[in-house]
Amino acid sequence: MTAILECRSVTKSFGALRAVNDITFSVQRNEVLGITGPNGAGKTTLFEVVSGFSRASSGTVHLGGEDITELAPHVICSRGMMRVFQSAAAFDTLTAWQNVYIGHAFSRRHPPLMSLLRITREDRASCLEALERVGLAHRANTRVAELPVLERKFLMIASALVSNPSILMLDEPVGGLTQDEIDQVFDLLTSLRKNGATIVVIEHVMRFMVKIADRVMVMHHGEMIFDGEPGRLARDETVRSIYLGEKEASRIAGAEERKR
Amino acid sequence: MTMPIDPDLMRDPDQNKRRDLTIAAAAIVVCVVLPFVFPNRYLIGQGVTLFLWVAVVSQWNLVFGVGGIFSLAQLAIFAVGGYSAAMLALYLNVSLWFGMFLGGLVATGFSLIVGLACLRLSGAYVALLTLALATALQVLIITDTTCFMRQGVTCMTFTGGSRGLSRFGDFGFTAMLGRANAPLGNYFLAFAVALAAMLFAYLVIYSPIGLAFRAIRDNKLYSIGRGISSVRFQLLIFGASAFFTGMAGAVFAGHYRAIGANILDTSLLLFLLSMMVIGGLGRFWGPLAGTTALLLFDEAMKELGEWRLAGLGAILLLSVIFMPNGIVGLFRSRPAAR
Ligand SMILES: Nc1ncnc2c1ncn2[C@@H]1O[C@H](COP(=O)(O)OP(=O)(O)O)[C@@H](O)[C@H]1O
Ligand SMILES: [Mg+2]
Repeated sequence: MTAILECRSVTKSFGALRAVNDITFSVQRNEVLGITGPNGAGKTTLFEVVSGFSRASSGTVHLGGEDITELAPHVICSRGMMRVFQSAAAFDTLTAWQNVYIGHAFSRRHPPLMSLLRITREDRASCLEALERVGLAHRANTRVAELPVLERKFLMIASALVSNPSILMLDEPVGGLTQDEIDQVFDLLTSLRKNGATIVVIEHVMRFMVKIADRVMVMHHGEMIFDGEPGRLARDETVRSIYLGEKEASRIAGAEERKR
Repeated sequence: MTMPIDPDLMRDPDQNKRRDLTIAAAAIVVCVVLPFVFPNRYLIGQGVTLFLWVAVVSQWNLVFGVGGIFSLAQLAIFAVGGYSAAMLALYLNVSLWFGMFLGGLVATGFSLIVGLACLRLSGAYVALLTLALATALQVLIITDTTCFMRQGVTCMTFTGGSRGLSRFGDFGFTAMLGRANAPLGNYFLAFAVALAAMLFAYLVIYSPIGLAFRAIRDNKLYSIGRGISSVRFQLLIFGASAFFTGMAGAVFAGHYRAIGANILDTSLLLFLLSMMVIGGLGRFWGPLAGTTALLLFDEAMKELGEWRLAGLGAILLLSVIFMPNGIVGLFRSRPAAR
């Protein structure tokens, strides 16, 4: 079985700083890979490189077997990788459905010319369906500037989902949210995963992370210091001492117990 | 609990087809009837000016308002269109009717080059570069003194230099309609160009391409992350906004039977910029509203002599403070989104 995403020895340097240092990993179909680690560990930079927004200093990235290391970011979109950014990015002067429409119309690999000239009923229906998947159908006609943060985050996910991406890259989807909101995001991701989605998710909130991820990678100073099942995370000496601390570790271990 | 929505009901909140059709029909009727009700040479001449500036500002608005690219090259594009048509007529005897379309095409090519030059720039740097380009074009024309063609004892330069180009003829309305009705010919030609330009702007603004322009304006990185090629669309914007602008330049040349480098003056550029801003940036009706308002205002200020510029400045200041979304913004039901 070929991996959907495969990164080999990916390195990104800013001057003397190796923000991402020799990272190798792969993501299988329908797998949820979590990436965590302290602030400044290089997680977002890794996403930037993988999605083509920033050039790797060395190493290669393959998506569905194709080498995408040198491709432009908008081309990588058309190959099926969709990013959900750390900030609640949106097209503020457009409505919710128009935001989704952007992801629908322009991420296609060979868009028919007519699709650049006319918005059809089918296009609108696809956008509505994506909005329904994140529970925002009732907001279809709302201008996004008027939406609260949580709905903007869901909207960004909808505009990624509408193109049926082969892999979804989420950067801190629950950062800054309340527990109740975190649960809503969790429910959404769980349902996506049931429907066969492949997801890479960066997250600080460990309780969320252990519950959602099949596998967790921990980064520190640009390096990978752990790659394995979430259950082993709390017991790993390096992770305990560098990242989690004793208190958090025992909390996670407790959560793991309760899960079983 | 979410109520079902019919996809047909998903629309653009700025677009109201019935309202737009009503306004368009009313405006068209007024423009068609007016020169017959007031068959006054001066009024008809002002009408030509209005139509030409509406054509230019409505296309500029695609770049500046809808696309959020602060290009100041629009009058340079206009000049390239006008000069091309004039030179084709003068040197190659190409009819202005045909030259008008060629002028539009040459202007499009020129605009694409401007767009290419601006690709890696953003914000104020685009404004600086395009203003420099327009100024350089003006200086190039004015300082052109190389003899290109002899006209009797005088020496003609290729671009006409500081004296400008003339004697390349016009659209031939005198022969077609008679001396008395010739101005009407120019009037309706300029009207047709303005109408075509506005129709084109309407189609662009509310098409998927227009949505992409707005998406890039709102958040460039995110738009790239949703598959939009910012290079392709920036060139598309520059190309698309140039054709009718260049055509308007050719009609300008035919109407005045002359064209000179003074159309590249910064004061005229600022006048048109004010029209765009006061009308309402990025809004379909903005250019028409702004151009009409400023030309009427300019007319009223004619009496004031040198106070005219000060008055214009004051009106610009007041409207930016009290109508941040322009005249069109006053008629918007929802709270402003920008
Ligand atoms: N464009 C850049 N130029 C220079 N340094 C950068 C740039 N982007 C990120 N960095 C640095 O790289 C490191 C990793 O940052 P980042 O990937 O944002 O961390 P994380 O997402 O894990 O919090 C930080 O030290 C940050 O300051
Ligand atoms: Mg980050």
